[in-house]
Amino acid sequence: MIRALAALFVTTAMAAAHAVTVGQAAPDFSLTDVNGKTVKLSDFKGKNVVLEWTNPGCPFVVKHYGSNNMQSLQSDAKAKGVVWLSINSTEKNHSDYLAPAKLNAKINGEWKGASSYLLMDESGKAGQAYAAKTTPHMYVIDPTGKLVYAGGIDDKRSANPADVKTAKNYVRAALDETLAGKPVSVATAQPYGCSIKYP
Amino acid sequence: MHISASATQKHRLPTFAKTTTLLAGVAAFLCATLLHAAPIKTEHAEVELIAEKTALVAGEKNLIGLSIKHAPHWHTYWKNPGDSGYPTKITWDVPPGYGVGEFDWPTPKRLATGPIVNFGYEGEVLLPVTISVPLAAKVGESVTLKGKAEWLVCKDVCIPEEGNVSVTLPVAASNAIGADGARFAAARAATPGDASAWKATLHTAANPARDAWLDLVAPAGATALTALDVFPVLEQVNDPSVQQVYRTPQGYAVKLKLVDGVKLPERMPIVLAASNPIGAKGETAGTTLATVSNTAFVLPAGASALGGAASSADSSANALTFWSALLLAFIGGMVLNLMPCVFPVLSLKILSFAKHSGKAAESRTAMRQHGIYYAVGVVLSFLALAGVMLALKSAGSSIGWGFQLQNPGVVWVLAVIFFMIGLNLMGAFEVGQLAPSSLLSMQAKHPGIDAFFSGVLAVIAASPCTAPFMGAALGFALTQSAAAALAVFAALGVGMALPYVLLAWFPKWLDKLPRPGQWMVTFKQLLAFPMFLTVVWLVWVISLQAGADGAAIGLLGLVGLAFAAWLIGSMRSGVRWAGVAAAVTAMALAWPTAELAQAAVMSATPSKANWQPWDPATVAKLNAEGKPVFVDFTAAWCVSCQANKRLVLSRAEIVSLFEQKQVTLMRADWTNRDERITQALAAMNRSGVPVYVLHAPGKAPQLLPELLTTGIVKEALLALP
Repeated sequence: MIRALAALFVTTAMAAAHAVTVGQAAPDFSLTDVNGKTVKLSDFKGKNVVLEWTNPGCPFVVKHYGSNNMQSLQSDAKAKGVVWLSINSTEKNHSDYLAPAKLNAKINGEWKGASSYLLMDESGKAGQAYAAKTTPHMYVIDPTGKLVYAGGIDDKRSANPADVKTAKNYVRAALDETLAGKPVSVATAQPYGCSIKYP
Repeated sequence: MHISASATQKHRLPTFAKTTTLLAGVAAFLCATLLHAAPIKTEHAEVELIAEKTALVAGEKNLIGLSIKHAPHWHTYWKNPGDSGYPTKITWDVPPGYGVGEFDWPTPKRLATGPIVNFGYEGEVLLPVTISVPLAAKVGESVTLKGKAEWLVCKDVCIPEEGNVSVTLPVAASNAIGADGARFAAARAATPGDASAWKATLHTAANPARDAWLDLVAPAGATALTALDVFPVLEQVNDPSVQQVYRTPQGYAVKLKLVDGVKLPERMPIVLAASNPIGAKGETAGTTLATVSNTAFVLPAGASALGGAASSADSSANALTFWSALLLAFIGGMVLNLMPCVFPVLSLKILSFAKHSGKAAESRTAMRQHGIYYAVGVVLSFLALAGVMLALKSAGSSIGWGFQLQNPGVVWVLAVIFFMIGLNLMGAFEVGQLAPSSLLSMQAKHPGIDAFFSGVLAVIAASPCTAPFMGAALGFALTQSAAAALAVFAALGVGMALPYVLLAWFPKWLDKLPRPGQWMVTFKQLLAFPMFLTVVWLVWVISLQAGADGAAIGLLGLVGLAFAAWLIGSMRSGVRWAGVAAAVTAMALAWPTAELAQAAVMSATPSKANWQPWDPATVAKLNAEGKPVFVDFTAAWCVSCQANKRLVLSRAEIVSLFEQKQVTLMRADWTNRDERITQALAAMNRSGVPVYVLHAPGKAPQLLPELLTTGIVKEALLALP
């Protein structure tokens, strides 16, 4: 009985939220992609990884896909050997939720998304481990597994696709600097978009 | 210029076209009139520009405002939107010479969607803007103030919306409050006033959890607040979902969590929203500038938690609810019975039950009565202890559960009690010989008295053993109202007494015991030994609190008491009085003094080479260097602490794992009173020891359970990078 009670206690004690910090190790996660493949962040040690929180029902996500901004960022990154993980943390009961096949058809089919993997996180655990707040919310991880950027995709907080051209893209800048072996000059920025629909 | 009535009528006309037609029909220069474009209506909001007064006056400042009427449950955002969203804005297009100010944002509401917390507005809101009318404005001309409004309206989904808004006003020599005047008055009342009389300091000493403390010193004469909510005006300063408000002797302290990579100004504007007036003009919200200081903050003695709008959001993450605290206290109370310091008392009780069960059935009522009296004794003792603790706390003492054992005098009294019980069990004297005859006759009339006091004794014996689960529940209890705290302690008592009450009710369960006889005398004598072992442990605690001298004096006192007991037990009544005198003398001489306790503080910290004394600044420094730190909050008088230390933390495999993961080991010793440790415990919602904390770099501190197993510690350590 003591063991069971102790276990109960551990869960209470550990419920305290953890937070990620730029410059520290990025928390590992294991998620299933839209094709049913299990993907672990730690599998990509040695490579730069981009995490993109997404939800095709969000106008801010539509802004970046509709303007082809996200796709070109994804293709450019992959061409440089970067692993791009798009993660959907929308809970199952939310009206924005799309089942894996439908999500795949929307982002990778209709929108021609070019991420390495499109991952399902219905429980929201991966999202909460990163304290992801919005869609999009972007993270860049260096080859040693250290988080080097966390925040918004760019500095123009709007849903207007026209702003993409004039905005400073923080993810592109962070990737360029990390790939060149330089420290990231803007390592955190305000994320903007729709709130993530956590359970 | 008598236009107010007509203006009111006209601007209510449904279409712009109709109004213009009407306008054209009137002598335009004499009767230019207020009008605004039809509101923009979307599925989620109705948005329009409105004016406070009927006209603009040259050289004056006039108010217009963006009115947003949200569909039910939809909201738009404050200037700091919180976790997501963005503030409503207008890109103005006004005639040359006209100046447009910023929105005078009303105090926002805290809007939570799951773990995401936003600051914004629901229902109807008016965002007023001050228009500076140029001196050159000509009376009679009609001025259109317009702009592109953009707002993000959200429920569980977010819709960015925009539209062109405008209001047209005549320029006049004077003006009056218009039809929408009441809405401006309401907006003014809802706008934060000046709370600069509240001296605010934001303490941001580096720590891995990015905790920051906002220390608020209330101005003289401020009324006590029942709720306080804090809204930082700047975006991306703190995590809006984390906010714990405490009442301090000087005002309030609010624990916040900074966002990663935050860059703070020297003076940071903060809106305080309270239950009572706090603004200079009696507003219930006000803005003050917090001085940002790179210093650490310790919650002062006597601080207590205060309900705030955010505390509910926060408590879901790591605090207990009232009911789960009651349940934990109840379970903790039952577990207490198995603790080494209580078990001998338990055995005594069972023994007395066995005696009773041997007798005839008429004693059944007596036994049940016995059980009830025992339970009442236990519960009342816990309530009394809780009452003393709450009283001390409200008097400003920085104490936590186990406080009673931080005084070597109390520990010594416990040693005496256990020693005397031991002697009594050995047969050195009988209780009847000690007690005055009046008490004896009372006991004869009321056998319940005996049961009641064995309950009291059980609680006294139990207090060193903060059982698993009790820490969390008692920590919770101390942050609640006195009534809730007492309820938690009562639950603890009920849990502890329940097994006996059940045994008293169902004596058949005792049938398995052998029939009373000589074995009971032997068993009774055998029970003296756990008592003496408890005495050894208590004297060891005294030795840590009051040094070797203190312990020696304590032991001498015990020998004196043993001599006194022997005199009382074996001699004639005349000599008995000498025994009582000897006992009193021994007690008086052996009482450990406070001076000794102070002198012994240094020696109280175990000087094991691989454990260093706890220091929060060092923890933060090591974490910043990427090194993990394990902190053991312990006390010599805490039995669970000693058990964990010997059975788990000192184990070779754990020690080598600590080395392998390069964990710095720190021990916070609470054997004697230590304010810093009491506050650190309070900050973790704990009130007593043991508490085990693993500070991994870049992670929130991880609390391990109070009952450690090698598996639990290993698991936590292996999770380290």
